[in-house]
Amino acid sequence: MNIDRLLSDPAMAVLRQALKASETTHETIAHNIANVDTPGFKTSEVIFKDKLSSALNQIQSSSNSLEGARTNPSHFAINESPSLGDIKPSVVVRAETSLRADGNNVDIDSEMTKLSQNTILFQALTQLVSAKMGQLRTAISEGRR
Amino acid sequence: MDFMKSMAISGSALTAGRLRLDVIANNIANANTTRTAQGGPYRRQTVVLAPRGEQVQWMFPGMDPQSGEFKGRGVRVVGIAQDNSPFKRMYNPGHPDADANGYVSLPNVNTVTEMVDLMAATRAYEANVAAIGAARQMAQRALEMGK
Repeated sequence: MNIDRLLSDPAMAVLRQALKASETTHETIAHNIANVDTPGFKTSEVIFKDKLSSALNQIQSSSNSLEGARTNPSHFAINESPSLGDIKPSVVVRAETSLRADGNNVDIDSEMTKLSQNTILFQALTQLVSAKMGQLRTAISEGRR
Repeated sequence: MDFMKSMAISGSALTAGRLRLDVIANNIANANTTRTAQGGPYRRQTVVLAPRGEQVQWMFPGMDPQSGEFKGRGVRVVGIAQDNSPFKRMYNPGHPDADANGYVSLPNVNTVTEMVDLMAATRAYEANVAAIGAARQMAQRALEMGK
């Protein structure tokens, strides 16, 4: 195992992107809560989990198939596995619903639920990062404490 | 760090919420005011809220694909509007502001409406405080990573 792989393993890359997505999710939830009484405001939502799982599926299915080499940037990608570090969250606006007469569609209960879910998710992710670092530390100290 | 941005978003809502509470308190305080500097009884005031930051369009991703950023920046009060609904009229010929027929025009403030608005504003304020608390908790966890 070389030293670069220690610090840039795929799990770490996914965790980094997931932490970033969680931060963006918090921002959108805070924005939605801030605009709970703004007439005509529509909620935003972050899409990350679906993108990540579809990328993971793609990697799994492309691992046992032939991958086309791209020698020119205008070449089509053939069975190219996506890089996990490139998966970015995207924000969509839920404009098709209306909850109140003023056109606002912020559901404060669902936003507060999402807020606590996201906080717990973030804590879980930080613990996973800590666990990864702990493994590294164990390897460095040769198993001694 | 992005959590500073989240806190700024919730903070903008706290500022707007406090102004909203001020305006409601002013309405309740002046529920029986019959003389103002503009002449006539007090008119009910309401805040006009609008989102801050780039307005995302219908079904378009609000995220810049290059920077990968969320463009919403919270809420702001764009103005304090006057409620132009008619004044309440009460027969009270002894009142110094009564008209020739003995009627006094009272402010178009309904105390019950104001109390309901007050509670809605308080709850919204609490929700934003909870969002700030969550951001603080998350930022603290981020600092503890790898310890």
